Amino acid sequence: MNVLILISCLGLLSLFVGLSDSLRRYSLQVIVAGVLALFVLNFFNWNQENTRYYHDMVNFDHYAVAFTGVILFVAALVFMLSKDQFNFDEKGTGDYYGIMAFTVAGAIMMVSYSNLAMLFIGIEALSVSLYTLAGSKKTSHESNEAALKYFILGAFATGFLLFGITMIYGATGSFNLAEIAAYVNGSKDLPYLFYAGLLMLMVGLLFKVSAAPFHFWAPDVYEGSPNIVTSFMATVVKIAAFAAFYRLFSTCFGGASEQWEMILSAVVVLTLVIGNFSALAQSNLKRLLAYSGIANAGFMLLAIVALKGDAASALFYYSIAYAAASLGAFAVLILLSEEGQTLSIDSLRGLGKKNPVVAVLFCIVLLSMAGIPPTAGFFAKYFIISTAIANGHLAVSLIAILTSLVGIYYYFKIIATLFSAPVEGSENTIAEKKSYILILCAVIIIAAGILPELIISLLR
Amino acid sequence: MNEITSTIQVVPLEYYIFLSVTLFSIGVLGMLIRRNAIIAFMSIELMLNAVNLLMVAFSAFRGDAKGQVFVFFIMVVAAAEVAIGLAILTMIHHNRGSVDINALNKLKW
Repeated sequence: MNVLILISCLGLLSLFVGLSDSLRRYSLQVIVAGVLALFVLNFFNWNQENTRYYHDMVNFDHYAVAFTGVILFVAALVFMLSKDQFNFDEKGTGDYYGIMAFTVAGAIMMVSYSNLAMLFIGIEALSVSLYTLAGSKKTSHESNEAALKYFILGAFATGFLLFGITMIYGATGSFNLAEIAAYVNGSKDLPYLFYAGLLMLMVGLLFKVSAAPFHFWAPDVYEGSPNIVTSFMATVVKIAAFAAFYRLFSTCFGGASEQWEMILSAVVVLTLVIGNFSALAQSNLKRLLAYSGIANAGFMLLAIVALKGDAASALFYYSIAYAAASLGAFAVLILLSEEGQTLSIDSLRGLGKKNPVVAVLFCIVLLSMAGIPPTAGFFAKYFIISTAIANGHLAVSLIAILTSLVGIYYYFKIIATLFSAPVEGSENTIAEKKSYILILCAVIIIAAGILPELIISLLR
Repeated sequence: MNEITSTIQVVPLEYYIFLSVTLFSIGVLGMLIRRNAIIAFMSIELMLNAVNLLMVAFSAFRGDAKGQVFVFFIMVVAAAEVAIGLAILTMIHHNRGSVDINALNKLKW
């Protein structure tokens, strides 16, 4: 709970640091130090006796503390990645960090809520900040368009989410997760109002996590937003959205699972198929990552379908592996764009020769995304699929395995491009540059792949 | 408070539900059909206000203030959202001179 308050204060602080002409160049150091300090402070919330605050509005149980830790760490990495992305002499640079800190505050609310009101406030604190960030390249038409698309579809999704919450309130008479759960488990025949609400709530959340058939905004928004914002959306925001989704369904709607399981399984299949097959056709690296993000969303949804047993720890492990891999990929993307490259896959040609370190690290990242052992990506997929099969979702799991074979194809296509000969007469690769974030991501991927038990036992 | 509650309860609850669902659907249709971004904003507001109406009705029929408190949250957030949305629109109008959604076709696959 202290983390939630302090991250909001940190956001305010970076706004003030950004105001002063002499302090502005330190805004990056301030925010990174602050977020890392909060990451450490967050450990002290583990195993507290009293986890509920503000009249049971938030509940910092193990699940919430673990996901808060991941979110803070990933956010710190994104901030470090932004080092050369902003011009610190310009007025308003501190605003980016301030708004990003507010986004993180929203994300922390989303993983720790125990009342639907807090879920709503968290989602909105996160989304409203992101609309601004998506449009933060003010003169770029793409960025404008991304912001408007994101805003309109996000607000649309919020409408559905709220309508769902209202109907559930009408049926159960409460916004509290524990009271709703007691209602669901206690009554045999749930009213239609409740099911309608559940369906609307699901539509709203599926929009936010960019699952098919509500995914169409994601590639456009990812492509149009500034790179650093995209990497933020693909990691922090996605993890928070899934953690919120799982928390809601595992606490409240476990008792009514036979009603929504079928729908959600269909969504999982659709998301996996659309995500993986659309990724095949992409030539722009950023759009490819967007579609691979959709495919990953399918996998994380599978953890929600499984719901019982080790699903929480499988989801937790998956989000770590996914965040490390996508951050690595975005680190390469940002290196490319700093060199003034177009973000097409072809511009990676010959990277293996020019800069073998980056090429090999990127290769590790891609192997993890494809799910090749011993990387973290393999165990992430393995844990989710084994939990799903243990809970009797064999058919969906088989489809998940088959579609990730398609995924292997396009990830390997990139690897092949990396190590192919460069096009004659073009100096089109990143030479002599290193990204420490990329190294860190690769280390996390390998370490989590070698010692999966450490992470998976946290939430058991 | 009691007087207002009993006044709200004069109309049966189903009618409130029908009205809200109708308003909400009009909002959704407006979002999907109209191509002007300002109209899209209005449709979003209509959706949120349909939710507010339903929330207040449920709250009054249950004699429970929680729903009405939630309405305040929705109002505040809706105001914040529209402020951001209008800022984005101003920016787009500044760059392109139009707020037609069809003109936004730079990003496609």
